Amino acid sequence: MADSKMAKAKLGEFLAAVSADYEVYGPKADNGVVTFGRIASADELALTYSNSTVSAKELFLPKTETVYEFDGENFVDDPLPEQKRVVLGLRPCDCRALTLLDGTFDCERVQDPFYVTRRANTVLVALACDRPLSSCFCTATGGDPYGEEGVDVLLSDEGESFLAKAVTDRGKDFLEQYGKFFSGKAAGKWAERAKAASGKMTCDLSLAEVSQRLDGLFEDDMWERVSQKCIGCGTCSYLCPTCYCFDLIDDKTATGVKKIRRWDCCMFQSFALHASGHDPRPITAARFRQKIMHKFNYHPQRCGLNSCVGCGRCVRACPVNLDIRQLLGDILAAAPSAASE
Amino acid sequence: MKNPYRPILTTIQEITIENEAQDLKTFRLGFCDADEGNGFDYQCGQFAELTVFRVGECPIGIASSPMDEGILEFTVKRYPDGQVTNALHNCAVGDRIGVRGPLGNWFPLERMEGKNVLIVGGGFAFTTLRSTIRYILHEANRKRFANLVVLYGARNPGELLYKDELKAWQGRDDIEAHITVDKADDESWTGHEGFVPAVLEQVAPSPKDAIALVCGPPIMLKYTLPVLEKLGFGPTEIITSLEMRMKCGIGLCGRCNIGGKYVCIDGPVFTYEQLQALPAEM
Repeated sequence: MADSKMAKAKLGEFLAAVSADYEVYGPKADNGVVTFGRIASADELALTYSNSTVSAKELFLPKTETVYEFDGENFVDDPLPEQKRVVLGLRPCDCRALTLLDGTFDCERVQDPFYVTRRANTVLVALACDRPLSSCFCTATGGDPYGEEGVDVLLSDEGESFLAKAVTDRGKDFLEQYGKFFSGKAAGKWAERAKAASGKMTCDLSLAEVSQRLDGLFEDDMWERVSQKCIGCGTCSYLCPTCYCFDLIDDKTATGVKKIRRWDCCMFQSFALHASGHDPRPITAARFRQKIMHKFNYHPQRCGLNSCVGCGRCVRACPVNLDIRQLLGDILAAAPSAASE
Repeated sequence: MKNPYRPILTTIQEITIENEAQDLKTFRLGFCDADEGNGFDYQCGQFAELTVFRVGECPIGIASSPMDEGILEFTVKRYPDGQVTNALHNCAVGDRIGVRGPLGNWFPLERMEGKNVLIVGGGFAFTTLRSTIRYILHEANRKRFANLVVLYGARNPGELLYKDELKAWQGRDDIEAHITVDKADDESWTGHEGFVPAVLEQVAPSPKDAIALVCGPPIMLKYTLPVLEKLGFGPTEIITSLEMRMKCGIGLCGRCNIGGKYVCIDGPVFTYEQLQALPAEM
């Protein structure tokens, strides 16, 4: 199906129809905090936000999840999340972030069955970003407010209606399935709208070369300096759509145990601590370096791409106003000869 | 799709207290399901995640040899702050243990074929080396390798692991076993006395057509690696194994990075050349 359009007045009806076939998730606002949750009706949807406070990551990698249960004698069958879902209204940066998580949780070497099942069963209907925030920097990371990576259907808010575009076959099937809510052949001004949106991006960095620059900076004394005000709270990691480090813990049941995969953060003191008491990253500077190196040097070495989509959540939420853009800018500005030694 | 977090079930068949301090025990595990046991196809140098159900999981090198059919052995040091190692030490024969693995890479036995093999170990980091020695000494394998020289050290005679095996090795002519202790507090001690690097210098094994496997505490490695270099072993002929907190063991949880490498999937076995390329964050 080519471009089409849905009048906003039809949103309620559309959601009711989709809800009959899928679990529907979307952005919900509570006192200005926008998070993703189950949507029962159109008036629960908060579609006027610039970006959600929390990313859509947890719909695929929940904060806590049982990865197996042992009843003391036998393993209980894995409760795979097989329900069909639609996530509506997430931004292109969050969709792109999922393609980066795919490289870890669904790669040739290992597949996380919970993550893979959710990804396979979920249609991503993204809402293009017309009002990027001053803290947003998706274009610096190779993304775009109208980006299509990871997106199944892209919507654009035209005021009275949504423009809709199928990006993948799954998106095409979805639009066809609910074709009666969309008027076909709507010649949307996609290109103009996309251009206007990316024109609002204020960050002029290009992060493609950061990885190479970081090669020689492991021993640099900059880490001590740039991490000085970091309090290691982990807010940046918890809000980050591409951070995925986790812990595995035992949650006792009456006769057995549930093994829980729980979000963790490389900024926490106990993260790499050995049972012997030895800690390979015993100070904030070392942990801060690990976080930056993992995103912009180690991940590119392994998967070819920076593990950052420029959503800007870490910039907005950091309690001590650390701005990753400033740090990356400084790294890029460092003399290439010194950095690539 | 296989669930990579789920362990297979084993029961403890035998527990051996290895040392006088009684903080090192070897657990012999038997698979509850024979098919799962046959599917557990491991190599010398690999590790597994051991689960004490309702407590947790920890990564331990495999101490038995792939030639030891149907059994799996792990030698575990109990740490005062180690929840899982304490729980393991409180286990009894017949208790159920979960095993997830085999995980990680292994010693390059194919590359070692036809060569002289030097094995240098210290303290309780001798477990996967013991696996390798057992493997090489097996009658089906011994001819595939040339000379086998072993140097193993512990603080004192009471702290040596696998004492019966050490004695047996010293009685064989197809292995040259040098056992040393930092301090011989026992008058009947007949082995070497002195730190591993110093004894290595005395024994001076030839680097010709040889590969050296070295595992030990960081302080031992720090002084042993230069001795090997001085003896003429090249950086790709020196092989070691690293320890890190490896929670998932499958390259996902993000804990065991050393630079761009994950010890759990890129290691734990590294050549000295690879080790030198890693940042000093161990």
